[in-house]
Order: sequence, then structure tokens, then C-alpha cells
Amino acid sequence: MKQLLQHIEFEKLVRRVETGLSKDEAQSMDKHLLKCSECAGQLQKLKNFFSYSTQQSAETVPQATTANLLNVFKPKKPFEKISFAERLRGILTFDDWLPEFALNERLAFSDTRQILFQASNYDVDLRVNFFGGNCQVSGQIFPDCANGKIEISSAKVSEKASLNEYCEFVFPFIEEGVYSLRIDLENAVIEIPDISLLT
Amino acid sequence: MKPETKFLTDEELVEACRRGDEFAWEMIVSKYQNMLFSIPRRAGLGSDLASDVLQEVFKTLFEKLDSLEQPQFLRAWLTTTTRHKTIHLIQRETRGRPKSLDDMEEESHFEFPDKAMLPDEVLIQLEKENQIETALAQIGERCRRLITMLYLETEQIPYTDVARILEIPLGSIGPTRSRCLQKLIKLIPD
Repeated sequence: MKQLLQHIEFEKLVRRVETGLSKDEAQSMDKHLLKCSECAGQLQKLKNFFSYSTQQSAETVPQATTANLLNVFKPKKPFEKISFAERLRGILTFDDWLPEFALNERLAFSDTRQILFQASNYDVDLRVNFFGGNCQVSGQIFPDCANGKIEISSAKVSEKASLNEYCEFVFPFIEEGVYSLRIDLENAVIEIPDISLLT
Repeated sequence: MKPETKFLTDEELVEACRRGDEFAWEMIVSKYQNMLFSIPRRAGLGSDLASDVLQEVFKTLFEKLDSLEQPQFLRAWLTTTTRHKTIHLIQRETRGRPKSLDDMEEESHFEFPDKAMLPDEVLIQLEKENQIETALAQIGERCRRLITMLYLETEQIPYTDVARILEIPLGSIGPTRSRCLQKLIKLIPD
């Protein structure tokens, strides 16, 4: 305990490095440091740390380098955009082959079927024409579909269609069956599962 | 600079970058670029090579943003990575350093302006700095933030701001600073 009390108070060591001591205090400390390697070691480490801290902002990065460092981040943005696309599920709002939606008996049994889905602010209008076991799906997306892609698929087959400037599309003929529709838009992915395309 | 984001922690900045926040990236660059740039410069590299080191470090950070396991130690990660890349570059450059006076003209290719410091001395100096940063990473979140704000920020932060950010009474900054410095130097090897 007596030994501990003889050491220089740590705050005084900090003051010596940070702001300096009076001449008398410094001389007294120096005498102690000659005999005490522990205090001398602490003071040296403090000096090293303060020297290190003052070097931190001694250099200024050239502006061109800063610009390059900022540009490093930019390539990630498109990736982020895609990964955070809102996933929407289409909900059936109209099917003229289903009695509850049929406007009248005549439409309910025509060869052309109209099915409407809603997904958030988007509407998907499908028209299905049946020809002897096959069918052709066409339609339109509202209100927009910039850079969009559309795909219809089942366990057996997958077909893609292009979207024109009015967001209209026409798929090639496919066998009657149960299909899923996926529409990839800039900020959203619309999925409509289990569309029964059977006569 | 948006005032409300001025004192985001490193962890918060990394999280924001992961969400695609470009401003958070700018904050990281602004906060650390001068400090990191000084590492290869103090090691004797010219401005161009030091800039190359920095570019590599930030490219690596960007690539590893999502996999950084302890973003609160961003500062330690950045300084360690910068030192490693600096050492790597120095070792690569010095392998081709001139062996005799006849080769001196070729030396300019290496952009190694600090002739006073030999590579071994540079490595020792970098190792000492690394020991300080390693100790800093081990003194606990509260102490690390206090010491960083008081001594290692590019711009000096007033005590009143430090007290507000760390949510400690103004009067306890002095004693806490002393305890934290004591902790820090105990962790630095003799």
C-alpha cells in the first residue's frame, strides 16, 4: 500500500503530456521517474498515445481521392433497388366464368374468358381464348409497367411475353392447366398463383 | 452535412449503408479519410500510393459491408486494414528498391519519398499504432467513444456536445476520461 501511494497520480501524468506542468512540478516528477520505471512506462505510453492522436488529422486527402472514395458506394444502388422491390400478391376481382361475377348467362359460357386481378395500385386484366385443349393468354397491366417483364408458368412449362408501350402482352399458346403469373416491375413484383385455365 | 445525423455511431452508419444510404457512406468517408490517409503517408508513401491504399480499403469495406460482424469496431477495422495494405505495398515496393547508387535513378518509380525511415522502422511504427488501436477496441464502448471524441476526431468536439451525446454529466467527463486513459495504456504492451 505504501508503495502504491508513492506513485505519481495518473491525472498528473496526463496533465504533463496534455497541458504541461509548472517547472517545480515537472522537476519533482522527473526525480521520481528516474527511480520508478512503472510511472516512467505509463508516461511513455501516454506520450505515444497523444503523439498518435495529434497525427490523426495531419494529412488532408486530395479532393480527387475523396471523389473516388465516394464513388465506391454507387454500384451498390441498383442492387439495393431490386432487392427491396415490393412483393405484391394479385387478388381476384372479376372472372366472367364464375357465377358470382358473371354479368349475365351469355357471357358466362363464351369461349373467351376475362379475369381481373388487383395488386395494390396495379390491375391486371387477363383475356383467355380456348382452342381444343390449348389456350392463349393475353392482357394488359394498369396503370404502368416501365421496364417490366411478365412470365406465366406451371410445373411443366414456362412462357415469357413482352410488354408493349400500352403494357399489353400476348403469350404463345399453352396447354390448359393451372398456372402462375409473375410480373416484375421497377419497384414491385406481382405474383398471381393458381390461375385455373381449364374449360 | 445533415445536423441530425452528425453524431451517428459507426454501427448506425454501417447499418444505414447496408440499407443503401449514400449519405451514411459519405459520413464514413468524411470521418475517416484523413486519419486513414495519414497511415500510409507517415509510413513514407507518396500521395498517389497513399490514395491507392485508401481506395483499396474503402473498396474492401464496401464489399464486406454486409458481412462485418462488429460494425461498432469500424474504426479498428479500417485502421487495421489500412495498415495491412500499407505494409503489403511497402514490402512489394521495397523488394524492387535499388541495391546500389547506380540504381538510384530508378528509385523515383517507387514513390517512396521518406528516405529517413527504413522499411523495418516503418513496420515497427505501424505495429505500435496498431497496438494503440487494438487497446482502444478493448476498453469498452463507453470509454472508446469518449476517448475517440476527445482525442481522435478530425474536428474537436466541445465537452458540452460530448456530454450530451454520451449522456453523462459535464462534470464527470474529466474523471471518466482519466479512468479510460488509464484503462487504455494498461492494455498497450510495454
